[in-house]
Amino acid sequence: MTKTDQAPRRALSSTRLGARSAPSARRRLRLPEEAGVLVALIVMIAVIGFAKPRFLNPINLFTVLGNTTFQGMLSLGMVYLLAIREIDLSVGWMFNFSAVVAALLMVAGANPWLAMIAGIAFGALLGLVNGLLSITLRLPSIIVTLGTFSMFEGLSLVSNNGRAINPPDPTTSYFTLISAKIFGVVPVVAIVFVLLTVALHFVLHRTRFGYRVQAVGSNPDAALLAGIPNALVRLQTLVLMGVIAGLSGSMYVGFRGAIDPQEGSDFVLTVIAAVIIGGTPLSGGYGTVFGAMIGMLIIQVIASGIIFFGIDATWSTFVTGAVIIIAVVLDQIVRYHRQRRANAQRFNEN
Amino acid sequence: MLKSYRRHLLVLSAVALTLGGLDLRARADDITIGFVTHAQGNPFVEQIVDGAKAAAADLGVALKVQESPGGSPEGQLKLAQGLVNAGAAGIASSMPGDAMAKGMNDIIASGVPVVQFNILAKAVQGPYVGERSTQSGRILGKMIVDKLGGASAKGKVVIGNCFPGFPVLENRAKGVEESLKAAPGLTVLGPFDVKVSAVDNYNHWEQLYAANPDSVAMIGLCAPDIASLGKLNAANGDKFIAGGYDLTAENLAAIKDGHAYVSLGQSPFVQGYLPIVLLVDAIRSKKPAPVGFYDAGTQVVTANSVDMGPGLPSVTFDELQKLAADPKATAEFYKPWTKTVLSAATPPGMQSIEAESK
Repeated sequence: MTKTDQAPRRALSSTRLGARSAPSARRRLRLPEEAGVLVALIVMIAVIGFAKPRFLNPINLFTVLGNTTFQGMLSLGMVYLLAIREIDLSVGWMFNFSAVVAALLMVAGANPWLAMIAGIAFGALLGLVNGLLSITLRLPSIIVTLGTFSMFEGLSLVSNNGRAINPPDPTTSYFTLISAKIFGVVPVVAIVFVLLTVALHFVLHRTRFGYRVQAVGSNPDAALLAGIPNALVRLQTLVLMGVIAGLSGSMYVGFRGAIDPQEGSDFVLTVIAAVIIGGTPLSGGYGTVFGAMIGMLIIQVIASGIIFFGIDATWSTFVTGAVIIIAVVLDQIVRYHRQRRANAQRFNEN
Repeated sequence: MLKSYRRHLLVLSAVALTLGGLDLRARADDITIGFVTHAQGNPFVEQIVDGAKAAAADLGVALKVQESPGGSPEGQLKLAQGLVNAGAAGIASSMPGDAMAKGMNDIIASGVPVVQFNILAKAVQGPYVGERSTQSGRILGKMIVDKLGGASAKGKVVIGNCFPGFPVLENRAKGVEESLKAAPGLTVLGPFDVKVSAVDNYNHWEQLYAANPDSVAMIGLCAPDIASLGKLNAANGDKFIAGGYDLTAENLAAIKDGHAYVSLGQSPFVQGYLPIVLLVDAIRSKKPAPVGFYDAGTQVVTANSVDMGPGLPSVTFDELQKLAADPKATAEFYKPWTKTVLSAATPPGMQSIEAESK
């Protein structure tokens, strides 16, 4: 393994700083990158909860968490893509198409658990198509996925004949487990989402693959010189996105008991918005998986808050956008102050 | 400094009053109904919302309207769940997908009644208020065949569907195609996906016309189609017969100007009004709203004739145009019908849910 393999941009910079001086107590207490958006989320929940105490009812809070699950999972994969300077516009239709395939297999009599695995594998296949097209044609994935967005949509609509697919027996263990709520309030799918977030955070920040993703996104030429196979890492990342879309789609069928022909078609903007709100830059080289989860929660909390405040439907779209801007501004203020503190500290150390 | 604080205090007070004002209306009555639609800013859907608002005012209940911008079942279900968690005692919603059924049935199981309008999901355990979709398709198809010359008509007929997969739209298409079979010389093309947003809708129809310039008729199944087809016909010398659905101001203007032939109404006011009545009945009687179908009625409108259907006063085309643009006038027009509905112990006319697609 090369040095660059193990040390992406931010890891490198902190190692260099660490070499100059022993870490101070203040640095050890440094707030995580996600602190800004977490503060924004907590402030929003507190404000809405103060004005509308019913909002803080655990049933509502877990409903909000459950509602983040399916798009939230997609946003976790999108973090990897933005970190490697890629983007996938076809995520919504990969979600839909995988769900349709899983549901069709269930209708054909397949065991729902096996159908779920097939749905995940099918998602991986779609991701592989995106990856191979992108690498062999030497095109950015944004262009390739602009095309596959429509291809996957068309093929999905052909597969389901433009109609909802309803698996025949929603009383089997697959459906009862996926749609279950622990203690009657905590959705199982939300727990899967949280576990997936922890796992993907670990992979991004503690494994060779994660370091490579960030290294390629930070400086592809330097990564290549350091011996990192850029094309392979890009391919793996696009396949990972497909796997996550397949998982999300297959679980959706279990959770809702059906997949509609257009479901997922409007997911992509929300997914990208959640990742950016969470603090992953479009410039690549870094990503925050927890940030994406918090970003998706912010979007859902805003949507729920609008309902609780009884804001008129015609105003709700504006309010959603305005609150997102406020959340991002709050995050930027926190980042600015943290950067200023870090610069001052570095200056003092020198 | 003090001035600055005062200014901030003034702004905060204004914000608090605004938010408080929104809530005060909700507290004016102990029943709040959530109303969720599958489109935002759509003229036809706004006519449904106007009906719901009129019912809420007549019955003295609070109404919270939420509109899902993309017609996504998942997005719409989230809005319904949010309204229930915020305290809505009943939910009226269109059902753009079967994936909503399980979540809506969970809401019903929790003791909150649900009524469907405009778009039906048969798996939802609640009543439905809408048109007889297949039958309305048959009426539209017959009008077009008659206009083209009856059983001896010949040529291409293009059908467009703005939301392939919506059961009521598929049923309309089925009904249209059934009637077109009366003229064996007609070749049916489609239904093609013509999208729902006004710009996309026009573009798709324009491309369909470019590919089939010899079409004798073009039939849309959704609200934006007549307006698009009217523009297209006007730009090409009115060469085909245009037919479709809904009595929006834009659609009626296209018919009046002679660029479209026929539009079928589906009583949006009734589709908004009746669900609120059914919900309030269910909430006040503490009994679940029974599963069944309420036919909202069908209106058939050409430039020369306006058939509002049974039980409604007759109007001229000009009067109909005024109604389409004025929610207050519409509420006034439906007054005799609302009086009948409100004076009955339970709203009359419930049929089996299967009647919707017969």
